[in-house]
Amino acid sequence: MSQGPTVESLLRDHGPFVWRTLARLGVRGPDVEDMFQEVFVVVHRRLDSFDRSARETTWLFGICLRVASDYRRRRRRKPEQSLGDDQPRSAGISPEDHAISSQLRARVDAALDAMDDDRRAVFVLFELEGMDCASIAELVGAKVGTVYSRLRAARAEFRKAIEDPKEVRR
Amino acid sequence: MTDRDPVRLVDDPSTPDAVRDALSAVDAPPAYDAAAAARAVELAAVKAAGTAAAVAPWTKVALVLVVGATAVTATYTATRSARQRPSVTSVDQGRRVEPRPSIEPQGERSAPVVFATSDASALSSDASAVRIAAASRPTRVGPSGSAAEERDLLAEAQRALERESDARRAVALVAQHRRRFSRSALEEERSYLEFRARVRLGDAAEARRVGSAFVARFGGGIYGGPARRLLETLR
Repeated sequence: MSQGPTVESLLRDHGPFVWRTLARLGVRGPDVEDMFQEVFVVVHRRLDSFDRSARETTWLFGICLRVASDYRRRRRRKPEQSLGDDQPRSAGISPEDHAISSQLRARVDAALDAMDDDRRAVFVLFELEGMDCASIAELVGAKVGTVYSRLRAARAEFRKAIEDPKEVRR
Repeated sequence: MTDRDPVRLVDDPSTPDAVRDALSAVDAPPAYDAAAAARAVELAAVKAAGTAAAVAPWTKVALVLVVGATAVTATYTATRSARQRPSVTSVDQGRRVEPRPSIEPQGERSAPVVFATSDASALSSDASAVRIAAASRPTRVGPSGSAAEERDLLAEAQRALERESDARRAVALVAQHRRRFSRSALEEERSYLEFRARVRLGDAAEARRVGSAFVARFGGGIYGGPARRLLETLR
């Protein structure tokens, strides 16, 4: 009989996945470690009730989604506590290019922040991570058709936000 | 990529330049830092365990005091009703039998001595059950001042660990608690707190020793699961 995952096995097998997922769900670089800790606080508390028939990544992804969502909510409430807003300028990049790039990133962040969590997750996994929709469906625990419709809606929102940023700042 | 999947926006020639540029500006996520991740998991174990520990000990103390008070009340009631009840005579033996109180009376002027048990399953509103449990768990908590001291000292150790992040002081306070209250009703909480503090101190060997002893003794308790997981992170 399967023993089920342990904290140690989850860290070993899925640590990079959790780390990357948090970053992709809007957790800023310097805050990833703290949010990683939050994810594993939940893991510690709920591991005993983990359904062994479920996929570990789906379970972890659900936790990441909630932790990242709380993080973004806190950040919106107290923007002064947000870390990692200022990306260091890479060597060889002019201050002007750096400023443009920062502006673009800020617009992407605003566009993603305006989406609901489910749409954001699908959009990020498909457009930025390059995952296919069947894998995303498995990961988020939804039907493929649901993933398609979330992606369609998220794309429309993203386009609108980028092309008309004022619409996002409601 | 399945057949029905759309083309990614960055690869789609019909995507407006502004959208493609925006997606291209998104940085790759930060590289995985295995050492930071391991550290985060270890702290997560402490934090997860700390939440339970923050509630349980004081709930238990309150429960002990409530049950103790119930026991004293029951004793008083039993004694009083015994005194008020008229004598009866046994018909069979033709001799007078004094009704016995269900619990031995205590001196009216003596300070109530409450025995505590940390075994929740042994707690009952039945005074006898409490006394039986007390006999098997000999911690003497009353008079009430010492129960408060016992609780407060452990609370101080907990504060040192959780709010002040001063694990060394927490260990010292736990040691002081152990000297003053050698047979404490809060032994389980005290030992668990010590284990967490040892983990924080970074002395893995000592933390493993304390943690293993805790799991061996209290593994079936409410901290058993978190303690085992915390122990796992030390292997």
